Amino acid sequence: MAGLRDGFLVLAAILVVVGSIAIVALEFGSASQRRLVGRVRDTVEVLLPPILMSLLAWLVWVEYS
Amino acid sequence: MSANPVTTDAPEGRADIVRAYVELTKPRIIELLLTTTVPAMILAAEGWPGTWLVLATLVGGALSAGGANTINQVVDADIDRIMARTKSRPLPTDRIDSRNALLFGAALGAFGFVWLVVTVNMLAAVLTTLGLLFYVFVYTLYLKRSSAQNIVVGGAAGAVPALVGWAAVTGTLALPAWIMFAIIFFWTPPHFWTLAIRYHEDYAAADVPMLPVVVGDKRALEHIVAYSAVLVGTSFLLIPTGVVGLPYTVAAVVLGVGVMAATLWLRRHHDQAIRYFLASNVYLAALFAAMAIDGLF
Repeated sequence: MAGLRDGFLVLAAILVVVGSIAIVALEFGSASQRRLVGRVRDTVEVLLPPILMSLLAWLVWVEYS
Repeated sequence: MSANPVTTDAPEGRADIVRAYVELTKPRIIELLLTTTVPAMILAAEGWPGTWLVLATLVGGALSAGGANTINQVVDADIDRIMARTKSRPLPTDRIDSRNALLFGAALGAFGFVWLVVTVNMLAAVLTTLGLLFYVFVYTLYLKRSSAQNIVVGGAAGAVPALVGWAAVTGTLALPAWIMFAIIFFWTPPHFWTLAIRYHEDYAAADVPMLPVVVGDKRALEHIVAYSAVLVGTSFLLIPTGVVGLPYTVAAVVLGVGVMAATLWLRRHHDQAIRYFLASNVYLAALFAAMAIDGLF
């Protein structure tokens, strides 16, 4: 089961990182279409979830790998 | 902005009034929120956490969620009057006075907090109330009408019940609880964007900047694919923590493959967005049911 868990940790990390990069790219790629209420606010709103998720994945990696 | 004329439907009897107040709390949404609380409690307890504790936590969570949903409808009454999907709700149809609804919502939230402090613990009570305040002030009042990220950031409120469930049992928070929070958090945007695709004209008429309205359905579907990839990855992240075993692992893989396949299918079938919306309810319920089964057996 330990090998299986390590495998899923790697797979999870890949999906989270690749998905997060895609989210950021898509969000900023559509910035011209969105009604931006402020560049700083928009940047924070777009970046915060992927950054926090990547941080969570890193914490799990450190704790359980 | 002028509202479309709405038929008023003032309640006639006591039963109608009670029904209208129950409707204000959005019982179906409460149901879904509570679906995620119990599995979190089971994993935290590494077994059944006790019937009284489960019931006490569910009652407190339901009161608070009902309060949040009620206050949300008071704030959004003008939007609800415009949208076909929501114009028959109690406030747009004048079945309940908005001041009474606000008092009712605030009372539910306050009672939920006190109930959880007395019957569960302070952390569960504080988290539940923070969820309510975040939903009302950050999502409903701050983000919903101004940002295409409204449901992304605002979705955190709906993910709080997983933290509450864990906190109710342990009095603390741990990484598995945050992973469950993140699963719900990344499940939320694709779920509500498919609803926004289905009711695109409704949201556009009400001037609510849901992503499909702002960037178009096709582009929104690309966002749904990216969020779904993170969702599936997050669901796998629970496996290495050791709080779940083989049943959850199998369920996460099967459901993960299913959700990615459905997401890619949806890109070619925009008109079937509502089917994805309903199926994604099943995805979340099944994933959390697998956690519960894993924790119990």
